[in-house]
Amino acid sequence: MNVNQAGSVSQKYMSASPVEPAGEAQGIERREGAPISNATAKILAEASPTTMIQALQIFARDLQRDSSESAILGKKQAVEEARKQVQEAMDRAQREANEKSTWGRRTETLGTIAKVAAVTAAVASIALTGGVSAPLLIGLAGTLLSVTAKPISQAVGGGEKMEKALTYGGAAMSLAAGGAGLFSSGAAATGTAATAGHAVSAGAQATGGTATAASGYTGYKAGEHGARATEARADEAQAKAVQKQMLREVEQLIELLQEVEKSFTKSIAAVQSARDSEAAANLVLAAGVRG
Amino acid sequence: MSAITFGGGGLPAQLMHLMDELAREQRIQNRDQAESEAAQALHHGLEEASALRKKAEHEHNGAFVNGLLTGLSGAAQASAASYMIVPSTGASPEELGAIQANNGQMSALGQAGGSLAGIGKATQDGYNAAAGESEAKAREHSARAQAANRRADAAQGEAQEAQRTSEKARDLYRQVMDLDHASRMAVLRG
Repeated sequence: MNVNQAGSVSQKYMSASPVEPAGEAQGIERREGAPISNATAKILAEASPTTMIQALQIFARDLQRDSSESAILGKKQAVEEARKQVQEAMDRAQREANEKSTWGRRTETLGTIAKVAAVTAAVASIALTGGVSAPLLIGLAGTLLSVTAKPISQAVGGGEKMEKALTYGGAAMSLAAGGAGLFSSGAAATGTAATAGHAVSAGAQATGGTATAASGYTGYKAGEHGARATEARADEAQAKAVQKQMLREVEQLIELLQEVEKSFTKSIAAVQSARDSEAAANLVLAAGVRG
Repeated sequence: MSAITFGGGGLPAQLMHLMDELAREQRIQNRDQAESEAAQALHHGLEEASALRKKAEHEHNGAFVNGLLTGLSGAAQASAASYMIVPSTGASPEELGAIQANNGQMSALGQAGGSLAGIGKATQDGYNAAAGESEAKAREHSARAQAANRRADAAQGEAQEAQRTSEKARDLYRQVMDLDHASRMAVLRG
């Protein structure tokens, strides 16, 4: 049963009384909003015992109903609040996931730029310096290995572990090549082409480094938005749990209200039955006296 | 359970009353169970949220470390490249040697910086593994919460069924009492 149904049930009970109020049957009217003490005093002064019992039943039922309905309305508000929180958390999770995706694409683009720059730097270094030294070849091979780690791993079905191994292996080769180059002392060409080659290589390395640095930031932003999306999922899970609990409590209150109403109807019927019996007995007695 | 005996109605009324009492007991038990299961469901729901928050923390830490190290790696590479000296034409062999030595050092610095990215990636992988564990925990709690909710719903349904049984018993009891009352009135009227 949802909250709206709960409201309609409550409304039904508010608008329709299952039996005629006892006071009206005896010519006693309890005005809406009048102080209870006045109505009680009037009942005490004018009503028969069974009428008084009925009046007390109505009074008790009204108290119980008002109390239950207040509790239901309070819970209804809490349920509505939890529903809003769930919706807000879902929207936030979607927004953060979109942001993560955007930053992830930027990171991929920057990563590609860095890889292309690394290859460009290596090729420029070899092709334009006019001399192909062993360290440079190793460095180029290492860089190419790192760049192509993913497609190679996918092609041979090596999985993520192989991809990592190839990437790190390529990096190690490049590092070793850099170290070897440090101690090499071979004469290199110093012509215009060589100068251009050095310049292109250095420029490409600078570009690659910058792209890598930027990809560090974008990668962090992507991760941060991913974490926020997860936090939003956590909020959603919590709000859903609370909402479910609140709905359950509302259902229990409605059930209680219905039970109170049924019990009231039955007790009123029982009192009415007693009054009928009393009247019938009086008639029998009166008939006996006349006879 | 009360052992009230009634002045009117005889054995049928007492049986009806007994049935009513049994149904009431059953209903109370079912309601208690439903409440207990609902509390369990709430607990697991909150635990699920807690595990997801832990996961978010791991994700954030991993992203931070990897981002930082990757950024440093890129900065080292870019800095090293910017300090590389482009040899001018006509440089003497001594000058070329010095240039090569400098460029070699810069290249090594750049490569060393590059390895930072690898460390960052490995660190993030570690955090991701922890995040995966938290996710698994969250799923486990979610499944338990759902199961507890289902049990709570079932217990609630049984309580309602017991309530209906109780009402039927009361109706029957009332009918018996009405019959008894009518018979007494008939006797009274002669």
